[in-house]
Amino acid sequence: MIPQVLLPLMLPAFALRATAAILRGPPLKDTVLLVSRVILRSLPVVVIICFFCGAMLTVQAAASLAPFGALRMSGLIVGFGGVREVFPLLAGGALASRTGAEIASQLQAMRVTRQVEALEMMGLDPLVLLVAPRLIACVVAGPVCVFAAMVSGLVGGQVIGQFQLGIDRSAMWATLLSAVGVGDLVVGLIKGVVLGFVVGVVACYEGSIVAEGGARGVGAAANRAVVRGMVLVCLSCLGLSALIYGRFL
Amino acid sequence: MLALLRWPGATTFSFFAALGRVVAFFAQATVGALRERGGLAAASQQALSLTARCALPVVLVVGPIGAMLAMQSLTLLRGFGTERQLAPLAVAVIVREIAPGFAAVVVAMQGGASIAAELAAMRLAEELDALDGMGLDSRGLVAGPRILGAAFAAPILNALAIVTSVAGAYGMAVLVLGVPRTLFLETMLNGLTPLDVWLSEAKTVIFGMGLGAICASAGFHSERTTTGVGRAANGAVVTSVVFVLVCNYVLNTAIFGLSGGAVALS
Repeated sequence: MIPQVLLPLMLPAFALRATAAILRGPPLKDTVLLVSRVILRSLPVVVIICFFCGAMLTVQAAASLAPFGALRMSGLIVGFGGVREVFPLLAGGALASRTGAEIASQLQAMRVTRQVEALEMMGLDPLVLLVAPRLIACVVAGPVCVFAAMVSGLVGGQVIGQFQLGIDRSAMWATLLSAVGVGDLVVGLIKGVVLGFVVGVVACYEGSIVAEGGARGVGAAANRAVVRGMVLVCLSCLGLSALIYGRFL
Repeated sequence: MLALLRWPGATTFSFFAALGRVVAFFAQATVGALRERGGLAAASQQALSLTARCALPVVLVVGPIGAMLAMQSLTLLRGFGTERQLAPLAVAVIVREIAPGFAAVVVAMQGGASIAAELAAMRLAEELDALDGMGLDSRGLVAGPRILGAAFAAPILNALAIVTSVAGAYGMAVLVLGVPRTLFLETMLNGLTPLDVWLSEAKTVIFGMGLGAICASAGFHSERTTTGVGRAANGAVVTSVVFVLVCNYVLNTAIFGLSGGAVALS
């Protein structure tokens, strides 16, 4: 077992090795299959979560603005706060909970059943064969999920604004989009790439290390991948927002 | 074509079947735990264990979110020349939404996943079957205390999340963005009533109970394979996170009224 205090050192080292494995050419067919699998399995979760989050933000914004007679401005808060922070963060969280846990448990199950050792005995590199395709899948899926999160969150806000709060359809769209610029979309996609990388590295690391054996080890690896992935997603979002919005936008 | 038509019906049916199974499991497990001798003590122990395991992740997740909220809110408020409203706005949003929502999400990710994985591993090792074989109520003995423990732990972690998130917002607003310290501290409670805090705590009890039931049920009914344990933990986390966000929307609508702000708390 690797002590927790060493994690800040071990994780960057593993990230470097995994990135180097990507450059050594992982199997193309596996990579394409994993990319499509990760996107297809994460997207429904991202869409559902962000739709209801957009709806919830709209209700909350309306409750705060209604006493000032500014109910119609609810969309502004949802568009601004949602697209810049909330939807990318939730997309990263959904990716960590859906894909991160799955990757960690898959790799840990392969370690428990000694499939990883078998690969090593055959002279094959598990980093190139197992880790690199999964990392590429997460990096590709990240921006796709963030974009889907933004769209579904805005649609959630629009649906609730129009049908529940009774705001005119075109007025709701106009306020939702008034605070969103092209720069925000680009930042969102950059965040998606970074968050995908972070989730992928954490999940592959937790799945690859030799942890407690047996079925409990598999469950524990999935658990650690989700929680550590979510923590690093939040810290990365804060760092990127402070760096980009604090300096440039 | 027939398969395409069958899909929505089959999906709806399986959703309600799963929902019914979780509700029935929740009722059996919690009633069983309350009827067992020492059931409440076991639940309190589970709550303490969950709180200890989730406290650090809650702090690490919610602190940065508070800081991001302060940063973006200040940008938005500057556009209207109302920077003075930053602290009341940020604290109200944290207490009403950010803290309960994200504390529950972290409990689902850390505690929920471990509940599902533990019970799935017990199912795989036939420990649950052994309890049933001895004539004991495995739901009440094993799952019930974990569900009640999640319900007890969630409000404690929500309080921690509120404090941490407000500290994050304070750090970003005062230390980084230069908002006057006295202004932040003097106005931070202006947008808040005691009812907001109670409702926030009540919401997390509901989230904790719901996610506890979902995760315990996922572990209890998992496949008897090693990969089944990972699958149970994964499925439990995803379903719990979706549950928390959907439930949050429904509760917000119930609290604030269908027309938004009709029952505004302030």
